Amino acid sequence: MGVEVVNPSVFVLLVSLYLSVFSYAAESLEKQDDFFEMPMEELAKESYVVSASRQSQSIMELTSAVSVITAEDIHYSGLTSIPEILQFATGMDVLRLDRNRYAVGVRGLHDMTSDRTLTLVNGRSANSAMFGGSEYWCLPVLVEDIERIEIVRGPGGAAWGANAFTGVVNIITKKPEDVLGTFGTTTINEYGDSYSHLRFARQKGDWKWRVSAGYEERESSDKAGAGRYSSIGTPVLNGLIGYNGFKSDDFGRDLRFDTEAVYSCSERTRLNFGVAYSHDEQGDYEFGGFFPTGHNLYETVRPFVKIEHNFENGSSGYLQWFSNFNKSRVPSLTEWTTLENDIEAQLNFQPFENHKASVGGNVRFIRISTDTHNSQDLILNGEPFDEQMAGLFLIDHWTVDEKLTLEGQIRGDWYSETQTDLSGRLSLLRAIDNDKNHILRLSFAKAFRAPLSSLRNSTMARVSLGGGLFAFNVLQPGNLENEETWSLEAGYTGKLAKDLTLRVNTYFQRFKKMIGYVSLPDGFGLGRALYQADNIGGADSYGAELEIEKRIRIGKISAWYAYNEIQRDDVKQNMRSYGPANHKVGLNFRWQVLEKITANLNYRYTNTTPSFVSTAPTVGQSNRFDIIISREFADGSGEISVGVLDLLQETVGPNYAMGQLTAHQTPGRTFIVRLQYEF
Amino acid sequence: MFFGAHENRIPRISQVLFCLVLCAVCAVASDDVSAENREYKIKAAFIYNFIKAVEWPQEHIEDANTIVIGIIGHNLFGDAFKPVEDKIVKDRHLVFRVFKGPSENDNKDSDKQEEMFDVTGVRACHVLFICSSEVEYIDDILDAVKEYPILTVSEVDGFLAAGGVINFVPGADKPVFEVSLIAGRKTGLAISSKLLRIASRVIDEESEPEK
Repeated sequence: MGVEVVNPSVFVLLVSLYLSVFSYAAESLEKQDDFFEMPMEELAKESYVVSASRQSQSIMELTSAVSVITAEDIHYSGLTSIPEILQFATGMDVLRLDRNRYAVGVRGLHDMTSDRTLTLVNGRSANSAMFGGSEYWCLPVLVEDIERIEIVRGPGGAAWGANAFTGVVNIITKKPEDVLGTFGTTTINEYGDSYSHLRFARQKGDWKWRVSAGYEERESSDKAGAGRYSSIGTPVLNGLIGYNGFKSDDFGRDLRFDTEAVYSCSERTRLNFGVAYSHDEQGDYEFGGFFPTGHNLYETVRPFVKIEHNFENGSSGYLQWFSNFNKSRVPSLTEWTTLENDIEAQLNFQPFENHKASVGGNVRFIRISTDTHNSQDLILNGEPFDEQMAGLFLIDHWTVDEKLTLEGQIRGDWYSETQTDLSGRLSLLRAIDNDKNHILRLSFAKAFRAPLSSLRNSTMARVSLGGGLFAFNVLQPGNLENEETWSLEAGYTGKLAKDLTLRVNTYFQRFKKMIGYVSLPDGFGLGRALYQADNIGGADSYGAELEIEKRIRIGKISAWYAYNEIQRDDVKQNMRSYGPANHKVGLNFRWQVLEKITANLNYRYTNTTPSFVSTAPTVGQSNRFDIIISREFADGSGEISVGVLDLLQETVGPNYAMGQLTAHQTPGRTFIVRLQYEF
Repeated sequence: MFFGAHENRIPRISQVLFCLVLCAVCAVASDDVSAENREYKIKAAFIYNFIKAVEWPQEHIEDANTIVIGIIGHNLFGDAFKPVEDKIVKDRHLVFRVFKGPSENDNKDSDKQEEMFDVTGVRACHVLFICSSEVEYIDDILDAVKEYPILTVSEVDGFLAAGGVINFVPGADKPVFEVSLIAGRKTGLAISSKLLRIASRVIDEESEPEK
């Protein structure tokens, strides 16, 4: 079936909106007094964004397309999982694979291992050192500790390094001084799932600290009344893998701790340190036809020490060390241990008048080892691996005059096992009105993705045919080069009226040397599946995103539309991921119904999501609709919330991950109750 | 078969390029301006709110028809205060004055404060914002106004320790400010609890900062 990539009517609509905005912009100069009508409590919520340029910038100054999910958005959503929260952000592609795992990507290219989207926690890398993707279930972050999530759409490699290929998700946690006191919350749902979080934050003298502990339990899809399996294998293959005996035992139990302490050494120097830990146990899943039905175990430890200093001349900087330790036992893959140690420094200074510059770099030491237990385990040839990388970046934000700003970012990264590469971003911001309420942006960016050892060195043989032959085989690849992308972006950010903001972003992005799996012919003529990773080819990606938000006295209303498309050079080209859903729509409405009662509505429409990895059925369109009602009590110290997630029951799947022959449905419509108290 | 692919699609890149070109064209078409960035608009709004949340000694304000907001140093507010220039707060008109800071004055190395900046003008303010360009002269400016009930505000490290009343924390990722109740009391200002609740830090006891 031929699919028309760009619906002309959609673009006519977008262009019309653009023109309307520009016309309106010229007439809306009287709207400049917004801030003066805001109470201080609201002013204090006017966040700056740090993920676009590693510098604190207001929304109007950004040189990338950025969306921000605030703590209030998270709180009133009633959600307890970061991927579930991310699905309501502009341009995000999120698919639930089972009760624990999600495919999450910025503008597509998402899968169980979404290694083209970089996830950060407070600017520190949180991607798996083994597979490169974001393993959100392992993240020792509790959702009520999140101050905001900044999502950068488009290449962010010049600021953050190799893996910020299609975008960045930066999870920023609340500082101890912002949450002083004691806080507890428990969420339960109709399946018996629970999510509990207890937090203490104190201050004494120059010390402030926060300690959070949480426990989450999810019943398996089977026990929650879903779990019906489907298969993309042939009947013969299904017989060989024992498909009829499969049970969707995808339960999850997560224990999480997150601590942070701050010591004000002086008026100018601040020492931050902390450690986060998570222990996760989950039901296993089938991969490559192998389903040992054991339990997955994950241990994650993330310590950090950061010292920040503000110099007398107005410069500032920091030096930090952080570590990511992960030990994972996934019976359908293998057992592995990874340790990353990273030392990073950044100096922000003003080299010339009207310039804000940042220079810095990092070195990272990575050790990966595996421990196989089964002949069908995924094997990393040549392990253990000791790898290093180093990067240097320079960013300059130049206010040329009162209307024109230029920003340049350049970064070089050296990888001990692959190649040295460069990333860059050049942006132009142009105000079109007297009060900088209407800003146009034009950017050009380049980024790359370095193939990790799991891509470069892994082999696998699954589903025995006898005689030492297997039906499903992954072979050792040859030399893999970095994936590359070039991007041309244009955007508009505007305050159209009192508390009404509009953002429009368009982009054209070229991907080169994308790594995927090539199917090789079977020399024995047995029809075996033989796959090998290779730099297969490129793709064109393009689209437009429109976001509009209106704050009202009793809440806020926001809506977005995203058109995201990826056209592969070769129609059969494997890209290790899903493509983006072409059309996505989001709506959030938060309304203070009565003095103590707040209603929150989240809606998302996602049209069909194509698979770039298999002949598995394209994921069908879905409408996701959540409603949560919250009521305060005890003078605002307590709150009880009730509501329903996925009211329309349209996100149940099944959704296949790359390399899986089977998938099962997950529970959709879910009624929840949450109780919170703080003092 | 497991890693197969989908059929091709026909690109319509021209339509996307049209949007990009449209933006580029708009980027070079404009009219002239004079305004500073959003950060200072927010800070201006905070200062406007501070006036509502602070009480001056009666003798300092009862005879005044105006509340004078002074800005000393390299002024980054631009026209940020323009929307409230005609506003009446506490039954008084707001008046804005900009003073050259010592850093902008040829006599900056003078031993006499009067030669470094307009001391008389500064002392007539109810609110005085000391710009970061005057970081080296904070002590001089604060010394000149220490006997006067003036709400001093700045955005440099060490401002509260030097005797200032309210400081916007530099480098923060959102607009946060800290307050010295000690300095406020010394100058006879009464600061509302609402303002203190929003402050990121309140210094109330000597050498014992606490929220």
